[in-house]
Amino acid sequence: MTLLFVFLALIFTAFTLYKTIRPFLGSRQGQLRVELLDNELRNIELLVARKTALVQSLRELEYDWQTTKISEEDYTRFKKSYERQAIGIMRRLDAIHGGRAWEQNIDDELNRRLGDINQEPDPNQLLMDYYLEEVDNAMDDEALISKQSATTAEITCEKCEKPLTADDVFCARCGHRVAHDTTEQSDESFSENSKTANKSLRPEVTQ
Amino acid sequence: MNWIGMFAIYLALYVSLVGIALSFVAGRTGSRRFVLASRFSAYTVFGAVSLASAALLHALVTHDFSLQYVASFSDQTMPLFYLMGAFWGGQAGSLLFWIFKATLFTALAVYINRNSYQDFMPWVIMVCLTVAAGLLIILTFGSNPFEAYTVIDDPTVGKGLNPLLQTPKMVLHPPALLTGMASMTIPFAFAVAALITGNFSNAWVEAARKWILIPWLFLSIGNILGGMWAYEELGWGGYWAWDPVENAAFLPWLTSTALIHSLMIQERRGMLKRWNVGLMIGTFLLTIFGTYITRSGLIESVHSFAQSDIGPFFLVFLLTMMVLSTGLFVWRWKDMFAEQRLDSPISREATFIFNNWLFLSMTGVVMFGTMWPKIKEALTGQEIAMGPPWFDKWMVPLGLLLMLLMGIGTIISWRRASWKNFQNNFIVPIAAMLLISPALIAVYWNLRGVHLGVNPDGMEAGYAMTSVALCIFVTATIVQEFYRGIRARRKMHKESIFTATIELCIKQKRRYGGFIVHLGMVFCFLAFAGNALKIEKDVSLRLGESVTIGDFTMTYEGLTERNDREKTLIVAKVPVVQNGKLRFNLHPGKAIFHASPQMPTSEIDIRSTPLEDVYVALVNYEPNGSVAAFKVFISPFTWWFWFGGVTLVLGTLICLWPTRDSLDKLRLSPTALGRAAVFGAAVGLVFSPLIVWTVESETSWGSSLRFDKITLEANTPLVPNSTSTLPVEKAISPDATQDAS
Repeated sequence: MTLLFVFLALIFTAFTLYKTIRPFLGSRQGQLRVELLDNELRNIELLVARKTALVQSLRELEYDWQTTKISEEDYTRFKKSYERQAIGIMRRLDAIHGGRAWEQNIDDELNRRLGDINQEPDPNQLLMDYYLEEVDNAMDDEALISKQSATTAEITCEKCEKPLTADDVFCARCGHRVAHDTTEQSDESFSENSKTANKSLRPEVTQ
Repeated sequence: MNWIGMFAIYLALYVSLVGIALSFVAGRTGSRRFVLASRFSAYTVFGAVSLASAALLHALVTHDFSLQYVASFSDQTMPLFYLMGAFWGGQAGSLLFWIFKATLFTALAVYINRNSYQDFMPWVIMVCLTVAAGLLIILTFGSNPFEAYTVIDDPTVGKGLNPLLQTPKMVLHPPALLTGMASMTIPFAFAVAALITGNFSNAWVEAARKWILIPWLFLSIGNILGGMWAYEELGWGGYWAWDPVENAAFLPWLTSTALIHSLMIQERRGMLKRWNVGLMIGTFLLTIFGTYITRSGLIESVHSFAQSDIGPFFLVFLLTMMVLSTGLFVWRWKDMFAEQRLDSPISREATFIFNNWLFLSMTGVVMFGTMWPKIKEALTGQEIAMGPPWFDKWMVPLGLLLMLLMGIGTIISWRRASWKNFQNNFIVPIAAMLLISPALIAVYWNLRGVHLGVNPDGMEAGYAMTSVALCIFVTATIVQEFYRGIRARRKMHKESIFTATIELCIKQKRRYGGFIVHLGMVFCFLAFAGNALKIEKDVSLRLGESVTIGDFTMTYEGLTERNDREKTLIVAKVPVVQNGKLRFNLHPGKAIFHASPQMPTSEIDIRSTPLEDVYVALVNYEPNGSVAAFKVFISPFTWWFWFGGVTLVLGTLICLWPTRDSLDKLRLSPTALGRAAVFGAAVGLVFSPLIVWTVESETSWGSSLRFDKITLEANTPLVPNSTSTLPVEKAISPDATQDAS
């Protein structure tokens, strides 16, 4: 039995030793390719980590408020501060993904809920509710992020089929107006993604 | 096989040095190649150290006495369980085990954070590998477990493990403590990485908060198991005697507990940045300091078996780490400014700051009490001893203040407490304390306490009653928090009480896990309060003579001698009668191992219940068994200390329980059934010491009679025809001695 441990440790050490020197073994071109850090991914990781911390802080704040651990003044102040930070993160994530789908979806969600509750709601609260729900479920899913990026990358001009970014309002080649189409397309892709994300989360929720 | 171990140690040292250089370049340039290479160098160091550990384990199991370490700490008669214990039973092995744990946690931290904290990770790897390299240098050049004998000196038998260490708890206590000390490297590395990068945002706090709980958990387990071992083996009658080495393990526990609380303030309010980094560095240095004073022989202790000549190596290592980390700390001093100020001294932040001061005061007291005798001896040549009464004089009031803050900190408001907050949160716990405490004390005293016949002095009684009152106060605050949390969840989610409780612990792990840890401390303080009524008696009894202690009457009914291949066992029979009824038979004894006859070990018998422990140790006896001397303790509420320890561990596990995110990072599937099974297993594991404790207390497995079972089971099948290996039982009585003469 102990001999097996020795053998396994030997294999593991040899493998990791090879992996340690491997980045320096390839061709010059291969080594350079490794150096191309995906800054966008790194930014997303940072923002998502910050988002997770904010969600946790909001949860705790909400709990402190419900158990009268915090004054109303502090609760409002902290909540507004967290909300501002959260919206800042949303905007930066939007900027990375290049789509305005998030903004549109926030508006839709606000309208939907306005209709649901038939009363004057606090828009910030709705925004945060939406944020917490969506950010918790959908944004956590890295697959969704990459899919979202992929979807926005596929946008092309209807007229001349030039690839477009989601920020483009007009096609740079033929001048065709594309903003409306892009938003719709992003909306569709978002709905699809949300469904996928919710579907993937559903088993756990039921358990 | 030994050359593999030797080679693995040299390889680990070499790769760790290369890894330090790689991670330095990675940190400075952000080069992807260097980041990858440094990450895998950390894995390689772990692999190489694992290889060395596996080689040593193999040598122990196969009784390869050509290795000095194997010959010194094992023999052929030792069962596999103790052979594994021999791995960390000696100097070099325990150091290798430390490095194994340090590199294991480094590899885990690197793997889990492979996609996060990208700015920190190269520096984290560099610090972890620096610590590993320092320890590997000590191992390679100071105390190498693969040192072999020359062919001529090669022994054929080993010396065996120290008999005191041949108990199950002692096999588990050192690795728990060593794991705690080794894993302290990770949060320390995050703090140093923050110092190097100058990034004092919440990032390092978020990273370190998860990792600081791991060493804290293992230090807690290690200290509790050490207490159990001392209680059962050393015959002190207590679980804590302020032994210098106990103190050495207790110091980092105190500072890390303070840190766990103060990190919350930085996370929430952006305050205490300098304090937290300083406290983290101090905690890490205290782990090395503890090792230094244990292994250098600087202080005398029950742990003298761990002494060797590698003290100077550890001193150099300690000083190097101290100079480097303190230098960085001073360099970055101006960058670590607080984002906010304390709004009011009556707030949660202030309570946490007071609690930190208290923990630091306790650290100072323990450090002074441990080191002052040595310092004074060096300065004046005068030898002084600072025993438990000195420590108790300081630590008891400090501990009680801490309990008070534990209750207040749970319910007070953030930023500034108001009268409304007081009405909402304090009235019920204070009312509970004022009503329940006197009632509980009166009921206990009348139903049980008075029968023990103890009259504690005013100070002791005052401390005990204050402790009970504070226990009630803190419990009431925790119950109130759970009640409000459950009520809030039920209001929002329409859940049952049971579901709401579980969900509360799942969704707010840190908060409710922390409350359960506090509850564990409440149980421990209840046990401390019981010490006021503790009875200690030294009695010498003739055959058939009885003594009454408290309301227990004990009769000495003679000795029995049993011999087997390893040892001679002297067992006394002491039936215990209460209120005219036989309650149980105790069998305290003495074991004299043939390998070390000069070191007889006490086999203490304890009957433990939540009300009190009855503890009997055989101290001495006439060779013919006509007279025997016993040490007897009746210790009220000691059981609650172990129960408190277990509850504390359970609470910490809840805090540490991985989130969905963490499981994703480990690429594990978080299915509910699997998680439930793992949680069930973890809870079972946490409570196992208490189950073992109860079984040992209630059956003969806890007394010297357990050797009968072990010997028969171990020897009979092995040598069926040999009568010499079977235990020889012989009653020792004056008559028998006369017959023989």
